[in-house]
Amino acid sequence: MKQLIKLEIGRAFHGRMFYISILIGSILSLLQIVFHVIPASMKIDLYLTEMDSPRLYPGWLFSSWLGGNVFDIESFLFYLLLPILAVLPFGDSYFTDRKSGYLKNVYIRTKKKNYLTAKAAAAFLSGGAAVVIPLLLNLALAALFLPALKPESTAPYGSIAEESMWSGLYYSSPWAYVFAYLLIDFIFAGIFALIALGISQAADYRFIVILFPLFLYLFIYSIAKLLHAHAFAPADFLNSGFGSGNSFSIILGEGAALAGLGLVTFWIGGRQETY
Amino acid sequence: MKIEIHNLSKVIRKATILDQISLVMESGKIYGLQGRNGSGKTMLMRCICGLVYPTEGEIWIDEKKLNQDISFPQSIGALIENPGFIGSYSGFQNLKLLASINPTIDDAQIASSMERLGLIPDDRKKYRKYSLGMKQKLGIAATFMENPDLILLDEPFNALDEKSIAVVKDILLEKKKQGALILLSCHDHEDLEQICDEIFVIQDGKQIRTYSPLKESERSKTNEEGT
Repeated sequence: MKQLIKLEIGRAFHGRMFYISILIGSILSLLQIVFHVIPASMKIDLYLTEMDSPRLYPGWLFSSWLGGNVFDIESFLFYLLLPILAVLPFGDSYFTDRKSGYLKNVYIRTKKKNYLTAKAAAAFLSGGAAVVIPLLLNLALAALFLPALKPESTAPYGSIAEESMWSGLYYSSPWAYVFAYLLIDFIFAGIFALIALGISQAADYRFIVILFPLFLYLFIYSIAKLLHAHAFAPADFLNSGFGSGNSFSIILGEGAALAGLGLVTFWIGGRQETY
Repeated sequence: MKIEIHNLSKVIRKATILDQISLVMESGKIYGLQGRNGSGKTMLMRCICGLVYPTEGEIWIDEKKLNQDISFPQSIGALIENPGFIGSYSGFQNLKLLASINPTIDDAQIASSMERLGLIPDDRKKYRKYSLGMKQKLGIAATFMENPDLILLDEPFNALDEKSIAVVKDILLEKKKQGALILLSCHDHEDLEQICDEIFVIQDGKQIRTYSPLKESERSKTNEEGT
């Protein structure tokens, strides 16, 4: 089992699609630095000379990086494309293994459960990594240009409401807050890769496997907006800058439900399928 | 190794693919499956590999019941229908990946299996760019590279030139000498009769005849001499 997990993780992290996914995410990440972070850094001196007024609180790291703001187009695009970035590295690999006949070669060498477990682990980890690496790149670059000031609740933007999830952490230990959200992003990206594995059992075309998690993501978003249940929309709660209305129990429950959906479909379909 | 198949049947959507097949096969012999397209040869091989569950009947491999005591034969190499590999990997990378699942052989042995069939291990050409013949050769190399006790080959001579067919036959005879149990299906009965010790003829999922081509050729020779 360990050997197979190692092999599948190797395939996932050395595959062309993993690098393509990182490249797409990194391009958005760099564009956000060029068009928003650097211009904001150029105005810091102006703000610092007029620090008396809270309205002139300078742009700071935690409200300006890609995963912490909700205004920049690059941030919007990144979180819109998140399910695709997560699926590209390895989410469609079960589908391609099955279609190519490679699975037959594997199933005469190991038990199905070993392969399915290894595949799920590799898809989850590579999906999570493909999303978090560009975010970390952006955070590191933004930290070169902007001060990591403690968030200020009276600032005109970048503040989150006191009743928001982990607001205490945000104002007291913003780095911990940011890394907690990076962990949530990693886990949800991994879950979207699992959902792609699950749909692989029923799909006849690769593009369906790749796009289905995005459709599900947008479907949940639309329903959540329609019912004014914003806390249920991953497109909102995955961005640490949103804060408002997020609930950890909803995030946890929704994550467990989506992961369960992906894993159960993948597992049952994989165990029952014959070749 | 001994394989015993008892009253094996496979029904898919009310269509009977295999109907009460019973066979016994032992190591050190080459067995052939002869039959027209759609007669059930491939399905029988899939059942023996554990890739498909039979509707009825049992397969025993070395006194272990398939799909109950074991989920697939423990030492097997198989090429069923088409070779199946990862398109973006080279031939060597593909074989290495498969060999790494249960690491028993090293890179040199993988390379030697490829060379035996005229493939170049250092060739960086991706599998998806291989010709049909090269794909088939890689599929055959994958079946015997780990020196399995059981080798199943479904139409192994497809897309191969005469020279390559001769090489594959040599390899099969060599593996037979080493004690492997080999089962191959082929639409060309002449190819089968050249190397098989016993041939099972299958028609519409039923086993209609079993014969030993070597004994039959000896018998016909004796008849000719008598006349």
